[in-house]
Amino acid sequence: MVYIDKELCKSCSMCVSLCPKNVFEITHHVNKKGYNYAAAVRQDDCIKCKKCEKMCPDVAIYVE
Amino acid sequence: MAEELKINPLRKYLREDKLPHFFCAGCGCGQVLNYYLQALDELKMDPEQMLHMGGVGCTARIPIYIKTDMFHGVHGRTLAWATGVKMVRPDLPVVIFAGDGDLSSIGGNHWIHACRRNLDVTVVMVNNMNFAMTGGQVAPTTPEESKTMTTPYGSSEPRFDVCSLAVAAGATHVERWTTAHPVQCKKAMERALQHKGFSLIEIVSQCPTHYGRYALKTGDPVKTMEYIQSVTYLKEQGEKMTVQEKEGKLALGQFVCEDKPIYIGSNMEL
Repeated sequence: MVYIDKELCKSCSMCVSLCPKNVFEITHHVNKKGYNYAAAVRQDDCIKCKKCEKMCPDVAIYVE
Repeated sequence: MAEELKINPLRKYLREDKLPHFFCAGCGCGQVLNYYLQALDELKMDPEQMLHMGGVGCTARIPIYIKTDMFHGVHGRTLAWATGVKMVRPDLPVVIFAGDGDLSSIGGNHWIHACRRNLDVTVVMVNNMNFAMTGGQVAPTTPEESKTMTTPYGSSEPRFDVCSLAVAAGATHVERWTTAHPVQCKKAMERALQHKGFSLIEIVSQCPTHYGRYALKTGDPVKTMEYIQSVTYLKEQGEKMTVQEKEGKLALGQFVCEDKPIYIGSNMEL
């Protein structure tokens, strides 16, 4: 399961580009700081390599 | 149905009231903060029993977000403070976060003399190839011919190889990696935290807002990171490369790791 703290996300789309299984997408929803935050829309494809968790610049992602 | 949000356990080291941090979207400094927290977690070190320092710059703001005692102040003088702290409290682990402008340009003199004395501190230098906080001016580490805010026709100066200078000045643990190497960065920081003596970890990082926009004509952090990967090579691969292939590129890896007597003031002992 991939959890994203949407209030910390800055929409840098690094997780979208780096994920080998294309789990993430930038949504049209806006957080309190005005960013379109990322969401894990294809949770079932996740292979738990934790690349997103290790490389997120905002420490917003947690993979369980 | 809203699911319960589980937050990253590394957030226990961060000051929740300061989040989200001030770094730009996709900045390498945020990634370095993430790698550093992973290294602390792996070594089971408590940042509240350590001292972190930052001068001025984007990178120097990293310790602000860690739950720790920290100094934050004059540009480039972090190693001067660290020398004073180490004279009074030699047992206190000191970690310094400095940018390339902070350490190699403005604090250059303090830095080479701290290397020479083998002061027992860990320096994490994030090299984003310009002065990012002040608007993307040319720095000593800017690659030749790249366009920045102050060099709109291309920089005419050769760049600074920070790791070579640190090795020449006598640092006892020097490594260089990029933000595209999360595991290597984490392991390098673990080795640096355990090393007795001067450790310099240089992390070549992307600056999509300034270096990316001016020099590379892209604001995409991933494209900036790919550019950094294209201008670096592993030290082991470098043995098979010709001089022309290596020109303008930076080697990655561990350059030196040795034990020497550390500086404790008037008397020297290991």
